[in-house]
Amino acid sequence: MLEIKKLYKHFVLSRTGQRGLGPIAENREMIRAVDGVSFTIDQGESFALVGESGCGKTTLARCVLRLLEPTAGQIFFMGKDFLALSGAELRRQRKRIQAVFQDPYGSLNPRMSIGKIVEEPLVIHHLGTHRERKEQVGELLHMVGLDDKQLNRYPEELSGGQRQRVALARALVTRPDLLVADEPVSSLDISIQAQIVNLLQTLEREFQLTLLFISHGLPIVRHLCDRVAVMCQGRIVELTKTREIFENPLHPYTRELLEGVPEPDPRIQRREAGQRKQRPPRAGSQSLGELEEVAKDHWVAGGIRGPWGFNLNF
Amino acid sequence: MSSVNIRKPLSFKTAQTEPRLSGSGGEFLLQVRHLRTIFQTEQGSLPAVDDVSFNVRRGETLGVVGESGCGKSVTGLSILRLVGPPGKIVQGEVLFQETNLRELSRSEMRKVRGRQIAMIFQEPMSALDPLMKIGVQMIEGMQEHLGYVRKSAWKQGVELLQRMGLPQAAACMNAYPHQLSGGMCQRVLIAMALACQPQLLIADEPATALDVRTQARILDLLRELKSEQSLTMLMISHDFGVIADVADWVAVMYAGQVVEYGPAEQIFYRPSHPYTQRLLASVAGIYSHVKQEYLPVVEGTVPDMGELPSGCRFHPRCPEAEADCRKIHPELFQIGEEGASHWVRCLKRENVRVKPHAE
Repeated sequence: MLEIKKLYKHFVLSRTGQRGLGPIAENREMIRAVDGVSFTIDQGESFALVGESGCGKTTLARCVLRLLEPTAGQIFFMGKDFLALSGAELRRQRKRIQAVFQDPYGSLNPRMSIGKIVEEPLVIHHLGTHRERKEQVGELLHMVGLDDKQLNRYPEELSGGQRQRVALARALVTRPDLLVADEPVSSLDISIQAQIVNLLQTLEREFQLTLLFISHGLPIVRHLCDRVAVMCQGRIVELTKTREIFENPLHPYTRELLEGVPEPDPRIQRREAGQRKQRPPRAGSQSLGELEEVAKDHWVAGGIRGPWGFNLNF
Repeated sequence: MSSVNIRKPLSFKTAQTEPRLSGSGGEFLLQVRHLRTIFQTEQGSLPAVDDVSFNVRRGETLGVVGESGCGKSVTGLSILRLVGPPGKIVQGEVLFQETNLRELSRSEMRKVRGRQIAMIFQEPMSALDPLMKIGVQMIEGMQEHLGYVRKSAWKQGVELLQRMGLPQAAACMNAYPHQLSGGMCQRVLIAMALACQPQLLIADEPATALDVRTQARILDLLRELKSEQSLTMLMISHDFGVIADVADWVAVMYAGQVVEYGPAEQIFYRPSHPYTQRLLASVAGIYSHVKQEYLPVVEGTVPDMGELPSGCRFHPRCPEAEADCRKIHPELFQIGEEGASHWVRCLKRENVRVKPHAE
């Protein structure tokens, strides 16, 4: 359904930008935010992009939404070349791809009431009569767990969790096929995170959504996604089924991501801290070569041949 | 005035001796007693911190955990008397080495902040002055409290940054905050907080804004400082993972109050308050190694301070709530076996309450 082929997005730094990076960053002229990424997402699948901040996952999402124009590469949405679209045709396709962003405080217009915010996509895409729109908005707010009382409220009156529910309602009101969720829970409290994850699961089923879920944390992904791609420095280093990532991570970067998560259990934490201490610190060099299929549906960036351990050049 | 003995802690009270080795408990470095901080707003006076008491033993770490808006950060700020208007500390004692910080004059308090008690704030990027070089900010405290001259303070600063694991420490000293990443800024802040060798470090969500790998490194660093220099810490976080990592004791806060308090093992493995139980189940659900269809959740949200429910503040979200919970506001009492040091604020746990005469 969504196919991404050799996507690149490079940012050229201006002279002043370079000087600004000063003594810390090496003198680079270009930031390769997304550096040759390819993957496909099937209809109805939920696909996770995971990596630490600065690995390019958000840039990639913005390219998929065409909020940024990629430097090179192709994006096919429902078989059509999405990057070649423009004008009315682009607008028509865009209503089928919607997004939820990380910061529920920044992504809602503070001067619009909740009702207006959720209705706006329908107005932009000329969908339904005034009355039908109102009905739709009411129905969606109900589905995300808000009631009619909230219709005339403003974003500042809502909590973070409620705002993220509004953002979800807004994204789903045009009945999209693909939902791009860029860290939708990471700015929320842990108890609220669980509520939103449950809600996402319900909505996914009800709307038969395809989900591109972006997160810097792995635990949440386990409950929500079918496949995971781990990104590092603009490239995908490991791509496989969610279960495989947790049970049989092959790339050292993936393992590091998995080990870093502090678990809510003092005994486990103490043991892991001890293990981390004994291990020598890993060298900065990561193997970032081409993806190779080492087992069925398990792709790892070059140089790693599997758990039996030859040619492990890291 | 500050040229006497720069290594000796300022003695505003009896000179502090080496940590006592005798006795298993050790003495308390910080004791907070019935602290109450209110915010004067149009809605009336809101008790952001309401009757909070806890102890921090020398060399140990107390974790303060709870959802956002439950008063964790204000508690940390109240200890250092950094709550500005419309907030005000109205009641209680903050005993630091048996001195009540609330009774100190402003100038005495200035000598405590940064020197005896240091604090790391939540957002590393905004806690640093964007117009000052890292180095200049680093040495400010050392010049003020330890009477170092600029040159030796600078040298000390470079050393500190190196110990925090920052590459190119000398270059960092000459950089401005925007040139560093979030993780680097957080290390700078920790280095800065430790520059004057404080007795107590208050860390307010030190790892929250960072991603997993940086977070793990910061936690390793704090744990190292704790074991090597027996640093005493007050760790404020909403993340049970972080608390599990560093805390010896845990205080769970809800709506401005401590609802459960005890040793970390007790809280994590034998939680008693319905709120702690549900919150831990929800967190464990997320971290569970089994894929779950529906994660356990604590329904609802933290109440608005202006509209606190009657009786127990948790009752609208509590599945165990009964008629009495709506009327009676429970006190914090000790439960379990004698000497278990486990306190809870819940009417439904009266049956396991330790009777006062059990002392």
